[in-house]
Amino acid sequence: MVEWRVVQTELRYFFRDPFTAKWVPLTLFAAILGLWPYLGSVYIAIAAATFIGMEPQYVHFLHRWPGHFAGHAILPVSWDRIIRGKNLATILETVLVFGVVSILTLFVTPDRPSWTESTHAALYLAMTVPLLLITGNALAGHEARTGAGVEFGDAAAALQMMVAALVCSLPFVVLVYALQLMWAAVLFAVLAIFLWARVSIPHTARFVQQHTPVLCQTP
Amino acid sequence: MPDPLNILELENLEKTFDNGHRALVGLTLAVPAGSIFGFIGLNGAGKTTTIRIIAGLTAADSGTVKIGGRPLAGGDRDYLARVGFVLDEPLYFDWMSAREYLTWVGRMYGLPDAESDHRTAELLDFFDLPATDSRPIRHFSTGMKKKVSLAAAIIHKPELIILDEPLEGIDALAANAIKETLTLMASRGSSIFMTSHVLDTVECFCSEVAILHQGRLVLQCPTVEIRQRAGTVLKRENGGSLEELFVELVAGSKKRKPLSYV
Repeated sequence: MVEWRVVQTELRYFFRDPFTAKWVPLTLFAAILGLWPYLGSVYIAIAAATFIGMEPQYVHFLHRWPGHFAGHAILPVSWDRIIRGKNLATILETVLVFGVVSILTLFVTPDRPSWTESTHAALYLAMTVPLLLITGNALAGHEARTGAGVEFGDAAAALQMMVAALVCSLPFVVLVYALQLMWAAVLFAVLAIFLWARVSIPHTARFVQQHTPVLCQTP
Repeated sequence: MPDPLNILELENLEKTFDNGHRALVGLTLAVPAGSIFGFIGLNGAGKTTTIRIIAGLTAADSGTVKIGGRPLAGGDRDYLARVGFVLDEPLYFDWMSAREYLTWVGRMYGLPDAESDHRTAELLDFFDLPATDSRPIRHFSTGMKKKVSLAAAIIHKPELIILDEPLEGIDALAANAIKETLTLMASRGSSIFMTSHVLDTVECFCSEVAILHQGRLVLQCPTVEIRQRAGTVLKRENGGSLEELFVELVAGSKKRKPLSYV
């Protein structure tokens, strides 16, 4: 079960986060990187900008602002529902950001991606986002920062996210580009979604429940 | 055996922090159902730690917390629906407006949307919080934040309301409104557990009082017995106030030296 009120709140905060302005330099970064002729696909630049900017939503979703975690801890809603809601909001935000950054980047880059390239981009998201959610859920309880902003810890976290995104992209590269097994790629995406929904979320919820007092100590 | 007359029971709570500070030393107390319970002590006595343990935000080293006779077990979050908290940290979602926050909290407590909206409107009106104010709560004054915090704690009409210094930093009118509300809720079956440094208020407002000193419970009694207890402790026939009793119990014979230059 998803806690839709958590999804709503996460989406609302996404648009009110004082660091929303980070998407301007990140879109610029995507546009400039997209102009690089050796990149292969402009979508690589778009995905890089999206995942770097979305680090707080993937990894830092329990402690987005001081007291965020405790605020949920005193409400009678199960952590499973809360984490499911937060992860679902992250998926929606990723699709939104990926779409907007794509429109802006494709507006300034001379090459138009083919239909196949765009289909691959959608498949890439379906394969990579669940893996990143699983990674983020595993890290969220261990790498809590005070808040998400523009400090050194945030830059380090963004770098870590980039590495995680690169690693999580490997199945797509292998199955779609190297082996050209589209059916295997689709199957992989389904399996990744299953693992995220049925294993990662309940496991993270149990961890958070058991470690609530420790997680509350994060300033 | 759990006592059905007690809404909250703490048994032998122990807490020592990593820096070696013993915050709670075998704290045992019982809060009678329907009471307004004043939990007082000096700064650092362990009041906030006790409340955070009840809320599940801090782990006790040992001991049990029972709400309505049922011990809180790891993983049990159902009891939170029966409790409302005003904690030492003012508000956790201070980027929302007061209306958004109260509506959201009401829904998270499981109220139907229409009921949550209705109660939010009523609470905003009751606490003189501007209903159309779209400013984030973080831009509110301390008193207004406290009012929002209290409104959020009572929106679901909890059986037990736990308040960490609810009257601190708020104006006299708001304090009066809060006390009236809490009295009304207590008369209709809710129990109030509150900390405060304003001892006169505790003496007049609470039905039961407990004094915590250096993590230990040094006194628990109904407030109607305070004068008599103070008289016994102070060895005075005409009794004494809660403040006098408190000073005697926590400071004892250690009286402060007056400032030499005054």
